Amino acid sequence: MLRTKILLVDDETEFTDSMSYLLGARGYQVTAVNSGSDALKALKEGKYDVMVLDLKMPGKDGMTVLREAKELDIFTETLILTGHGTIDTAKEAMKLGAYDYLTKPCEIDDLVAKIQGARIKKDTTEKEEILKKIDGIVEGKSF
Amino acid sequence: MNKILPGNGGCEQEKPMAFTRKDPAGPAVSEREAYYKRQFRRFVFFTTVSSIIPLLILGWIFNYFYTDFVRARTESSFVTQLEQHCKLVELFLEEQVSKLDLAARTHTKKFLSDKANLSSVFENINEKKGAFTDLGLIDGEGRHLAYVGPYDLMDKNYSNTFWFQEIMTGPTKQVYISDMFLGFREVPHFIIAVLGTDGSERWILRATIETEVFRRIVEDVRIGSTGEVFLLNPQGIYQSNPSRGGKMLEKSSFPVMPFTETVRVVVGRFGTAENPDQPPEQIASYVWLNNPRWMLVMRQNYSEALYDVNHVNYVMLIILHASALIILVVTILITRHMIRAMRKRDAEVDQANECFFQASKLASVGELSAGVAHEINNPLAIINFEGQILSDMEKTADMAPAFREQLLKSLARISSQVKRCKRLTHSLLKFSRQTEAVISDVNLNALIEEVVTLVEREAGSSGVRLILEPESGLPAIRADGSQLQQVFLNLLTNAIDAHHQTGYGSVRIKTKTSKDNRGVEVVVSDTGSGIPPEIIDKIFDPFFTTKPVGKGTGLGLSICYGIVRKLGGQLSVESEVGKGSVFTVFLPYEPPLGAKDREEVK
Repeated sequence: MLRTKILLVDDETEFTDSMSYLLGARGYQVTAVNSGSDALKALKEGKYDVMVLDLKMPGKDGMTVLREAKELDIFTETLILTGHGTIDTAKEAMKLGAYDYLTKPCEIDDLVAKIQGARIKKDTTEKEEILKKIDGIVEGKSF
Repeated sequence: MNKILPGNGGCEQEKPMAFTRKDPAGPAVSEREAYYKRQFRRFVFFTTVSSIIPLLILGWIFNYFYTDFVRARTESSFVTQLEQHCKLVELFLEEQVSKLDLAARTHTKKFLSDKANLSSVFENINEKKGAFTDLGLIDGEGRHLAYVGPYDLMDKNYSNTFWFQEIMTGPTKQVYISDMFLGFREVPHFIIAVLGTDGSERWILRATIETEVFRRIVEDVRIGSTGEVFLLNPQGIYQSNPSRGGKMLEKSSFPVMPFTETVRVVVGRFGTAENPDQPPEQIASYVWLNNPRWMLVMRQNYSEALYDVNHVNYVMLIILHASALIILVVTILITRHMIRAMRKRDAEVDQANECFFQASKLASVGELSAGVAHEINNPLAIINFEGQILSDMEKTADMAPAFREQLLKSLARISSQVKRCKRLTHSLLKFSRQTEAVISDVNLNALIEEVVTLVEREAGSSGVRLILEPESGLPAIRADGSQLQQVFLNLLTNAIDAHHQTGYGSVRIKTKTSKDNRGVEVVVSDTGSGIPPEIIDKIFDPFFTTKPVGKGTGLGLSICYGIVRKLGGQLSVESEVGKGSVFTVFLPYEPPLGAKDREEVK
């Protein structure tokens, strides 16, 4: 399996710094951005397996990023990591298609476990999509 | 000590609170009581004044005009009556004079000096009424020439009497009516003397008026029980017998009035023989007779003369006072009723305010909690990760063993303190999230059994026995099961913690249908340390805790209260220090409409 590419989205650089370090030490390829628009830009430019997304950010907030990312034709799974008071928002994000959520502060091991799960799901969906495409092509040929 | 903190639907059952929140039972209550008293006095005063004063003015006006009218009428009646009476007395006297005058003119001295003739003349003039007592013929020297009458007066000489001298020395046509006097016979009487002339010779025909007859004529007036009529001569001597004390020929206390031909009316205290010390106020009318110069007086006690008006006034006063009294009583009753209504309304407003206060307090705390939780969670996350980085590096780095030991200890402390903070922020989050309830059928007995299982171990280690007394066949209620679980977990944990000092005791959990059958009651009673009265009002306040720093967030009971309230129930507490506390949770069968954010889909 290729190294999991992670996009960290959080407005606090100190947080993204320490998390980048921890995840990097655990063998992940981490890119950190500190705003919603930067996140979308990054998603358009490169392929990421998992996006770890904060909900409360100045400018484009996490929810908007999630919604707009769904418009893009990508398979990146989103993991919500929020310190926001209302878990309801996180649950709503799940409805919008986020993989799971974690509340700050969290243990690095928990985060890693969820990232692993997200990666597997992303791979599965991507595979299914490709298979579907192949099926489409095959069926299209047979007709 | 009893405090009931109602839920949404239970606000009206709360004890009325006072004016201000800060000091519920203190000066605000007396301040309000004083306000009610002041309002009471004000209402009563103004209503009374605005209704009784017009009544009194009306009464006074009526009284004034009526009294005036009656007085005028009484005075005019005194005038007419005395005018009539004066005519009567004067006519009587004139008649007697003219009889005597006629006898003197139609007979000669010679004829009359024969006693038989005089006797027949006496019989003729005295024919019916018997107004004359006697009749005598007196010559120029004052000697009796003839006499008819009951007394032996033949040898009397009148030449020295005042009337004799007056007639003999006066003009030829002379009539004289004397004042009352005792005379030779020592009996009060008065005489009429007329002058007779035979050529140049002068003689006198003298007659005594029957005192009894004259008295009857004078007193022939009916004027009540205190009224009297009498005659006074110019010296103020009674010329008749007054009927209310005093005697003929005595001096009267009634003043001699100036001469007047018309009847006059006076009002005053003239003095009576009956009551000399405190003479009553009297109304009197008087008039002077022409001949003799006597003053005819008619008088009556003022109170009797004005009896009618006094009577009317009396009745009116009674009505007036009765009306005033009725107005006062009705005013007081109405005002009392109003004040009672006011008091009730104020109490309701207080309750509403209290409910609103508690609700808004919870709401603002909820809002605050969410913000604080977020703001704290972010730095906590960084601290946690930084700790993790250090922990990662520790595994590969070279360092002195003592340093490593200290580092590991510090990292463990950082981790545990972060976890402690996380507990706090998560409590805050729970607190701010209690607005949303998921409503489903809840079997309270089963739910409580689950909670009891959760705390059994903790209770055992604290030496506390848990006694479960579920009511069999307890109906299911519509509520949020997980939230209720939190409520009972909290109550049970607190109940167990309350035995911390003694180290033994029991917690009893009882479920039952509420008395009014509107819902279900769960009673959690412990034998713990109890809650001091001075803090029992605060135990449901957010962040209030008696536990040591770091052990409790102070949000537990506040959250419980919020949940129960949201579900339309009540959470109340009774406690006695040293004996334990009883928490009663009432939950209605159906939560209020606002609680149903979401129905659980089955």
